[in-house]
Amino acid sequence: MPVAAAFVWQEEHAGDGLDFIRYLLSRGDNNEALFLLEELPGSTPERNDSVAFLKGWALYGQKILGPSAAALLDVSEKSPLYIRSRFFAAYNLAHTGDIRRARGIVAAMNGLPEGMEPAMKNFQLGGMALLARDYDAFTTHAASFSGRYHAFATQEARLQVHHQSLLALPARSPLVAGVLSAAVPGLGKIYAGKTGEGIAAFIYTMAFGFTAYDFYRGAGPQSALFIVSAGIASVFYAGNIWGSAVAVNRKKYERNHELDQRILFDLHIPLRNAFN
Amino acid sequence: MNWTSAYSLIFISLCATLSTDGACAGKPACSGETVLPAVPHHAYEGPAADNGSYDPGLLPLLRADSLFLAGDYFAASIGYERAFYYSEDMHGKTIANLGKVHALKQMGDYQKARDDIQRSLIYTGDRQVRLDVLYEAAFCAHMAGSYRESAMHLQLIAHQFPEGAPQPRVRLLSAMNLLQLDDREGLAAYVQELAGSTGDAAIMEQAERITGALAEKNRPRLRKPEKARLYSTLLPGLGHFYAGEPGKGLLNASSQALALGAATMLLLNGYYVATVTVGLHLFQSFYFGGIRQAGSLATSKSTNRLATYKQNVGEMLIEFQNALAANEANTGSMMPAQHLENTLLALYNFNFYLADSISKSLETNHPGHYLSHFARTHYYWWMIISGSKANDYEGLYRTSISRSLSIARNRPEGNPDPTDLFYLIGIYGMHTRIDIMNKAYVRALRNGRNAMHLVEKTTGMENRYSGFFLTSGLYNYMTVQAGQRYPFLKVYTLFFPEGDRELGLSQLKKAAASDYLIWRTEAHYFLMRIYLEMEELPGLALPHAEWLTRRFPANLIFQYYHLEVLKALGDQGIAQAKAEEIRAAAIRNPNILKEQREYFLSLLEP
Repeated sequence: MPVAAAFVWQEEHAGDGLDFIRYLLSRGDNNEALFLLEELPGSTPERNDSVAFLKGWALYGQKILGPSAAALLDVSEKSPLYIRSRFFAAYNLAHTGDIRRARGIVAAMNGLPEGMEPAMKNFQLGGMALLARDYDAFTTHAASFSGRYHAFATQEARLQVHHQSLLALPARSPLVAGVLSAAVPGLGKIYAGKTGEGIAAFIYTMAFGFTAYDFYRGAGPQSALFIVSAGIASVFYAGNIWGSAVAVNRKKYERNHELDQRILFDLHIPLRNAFN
Repeated sequence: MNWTSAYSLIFISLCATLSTDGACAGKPACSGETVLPAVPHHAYEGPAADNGSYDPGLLPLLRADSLFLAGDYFAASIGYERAFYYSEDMHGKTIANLGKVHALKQMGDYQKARDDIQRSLIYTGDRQVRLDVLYEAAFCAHMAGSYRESAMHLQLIAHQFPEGAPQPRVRLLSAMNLLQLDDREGLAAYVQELAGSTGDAAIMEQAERITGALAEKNRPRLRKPEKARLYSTLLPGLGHFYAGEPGKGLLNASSQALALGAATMLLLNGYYVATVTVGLHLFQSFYFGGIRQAGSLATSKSTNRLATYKQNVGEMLIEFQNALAANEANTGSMMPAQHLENTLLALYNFNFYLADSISKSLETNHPGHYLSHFARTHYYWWMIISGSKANDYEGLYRTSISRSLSIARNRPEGNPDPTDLFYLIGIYGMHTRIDIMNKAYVRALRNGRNAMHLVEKTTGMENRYSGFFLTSGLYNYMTVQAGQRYPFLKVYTLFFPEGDRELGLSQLKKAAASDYLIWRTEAHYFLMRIYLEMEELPGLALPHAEWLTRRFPANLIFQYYHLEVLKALGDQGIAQAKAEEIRAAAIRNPNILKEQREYFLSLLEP
């Protein structure tokens, strides 16, 4: 008997046929759950919603966030799983960097029931505004942070902190870094925030420079030893200038990435608390 | 260790064959064949009660088995998990879990198998299943690298199953754990103890070789990374030599010498800065790099040497284990009985090649023992009922059973022990079986009468020798049934004790609950046939059919009767699925002949 047929038979004889898949998901057997979900035939709209949600959930469990979002977005508005699916789909998209779409999905969630959901929507939109570095929008959403809901009261406060951290991020110029390193090797890297790299660059560049000078002094400017050592010293010197300019952007990315991860973390925890 | 089913044949053959008016002629086991095969995985008896109800986990279990047999282990593992989920009793859950562990092992996922088997460690029902659980826990832990955990499970086995010698698989795993834990003294003592118990010179010699290999002097010289680093600190390259990599040591030492030479040249020529930035800088890089490299080389070299050493000793242990098993198979008074059991188990598992090999070897090595020919008779019987026409199996069968009977009859008089009586009943039964198949009823009755004399003699001895629950149960039940259906048989049984239908069924159920697999299988088989064909209560036949096919999934005869039970229950959907399953199994089984395959496929034709 074909594998699919065997399982189909099972599903027809066991409740809504999805209890076992939910059980697998609760065990963390996401691969197995996905295998079964792929074999399930189309059925009623309600069941299709459940299947789409479970697929999205299994993929989310495997950290395959793009396809997870796609599956979760297949859940229809009529489904009781709709709100949960939309929130998680938006979060998945935000995690993959598609902030614009994520914000659009959450913003389009109208007709939410009274209670926590509208506050959650506002909170998620606030966090996504921070991810998009849309500080005006964040300020608007943050004005509605109430701290009333235990599931995300702490995270509302943390978003405010992240906002302040983002505003306080130092603005560094690659040009200035390059000029500083041209003047004193390694200084541009220290300016960029890479102190250790700056000190190392200084030592190496100076060592190669003095070596070149040593050969210049002893063997003369025409000597091969001087030419080779001076060449190496020049490469190190020029490379250090370029590296200092790049270090500014590198450091900027690192700081932003770290803050993004914190924001995503704080967006995630309330979803798990509220909807698990 | 014995078996018999043959006895019942006297009755079952008469009643079953006659009761169907020849309708079952040509169908498997129609004359009440006996049984046998190996034990791949587990036995799930389904609902224990006589109400014939399904355990909800049973059907998923059957599906999972099919997937497993088809080699789709991932899908099978899900199927077993489903059976675990739906099963309502601990036994069913444990059987399903064992199935999943087998599937995971096939996939090489020992870690997950180890995690999952933990769920069944609390199981305390069927002893064989409990043993399987503990063994799988030990095996998977070993394969996952948790040797102490594995040893702990093996200790539990030794504690909870103290009777008899440890199973070969348990012995081997115990030894492998000791090896991996580097307990060489413990392993040497264990090997010596095992060898000493055999008294066999060749095995003792083998044990000596293993002990020698485990001696300190033969152990690979492991290199300590800290020592290698110290040596390279004191003298460049020396740590590499110590680690067993002299070539790399020379290269490193040369590099350092060159760097020092360059530094000296630069210094002598007045390049003081370059002396430091080039010469000394290169030297320190080679020097400290060499120290680090010596340490890592010592570590990797030791790891490799130890792995090779353990692999070699492991291979010696496997050879040793094989020798022990061979020794056990070739010594002791019970040897032919053990071979008979192995033959039966191979036949139960539809592994005819193995059954042929074992029974032929037994007949060759022990031509004067009646069980040798008895085992061979079983092989021929199964070839006949499974549709093989490659030989004159009927003629061979007659020759074998006659030899067996002749030797058994000529055994010294006296007080035969229950085992001998049990086998003798079986031999008469087998003798009768072929006569009934050929409609030689007079001869069948004569042999049957001999068997009944023996059964009469053993009545009341059931508690002393539980195999008699099977023979007495069949006698009590079949005598009543035969008398009701065929009044003329009453004359025949006039001088024998009256039967008792209820008592017979009760005794058969006791045999089905026996610890001994062969009796258990036989009893389940007869209960299945009785409830299906005589009592016409297929719901009560179902648990027995399920037990048989769960325990011996490759056995197409058991599968066939399981199908008949499902048909009788009227669930056409399940019956159709089962028929497809049997068809697939018949096509896939590599151990049956083409004509046997065709035979079973023809049985499935509408």
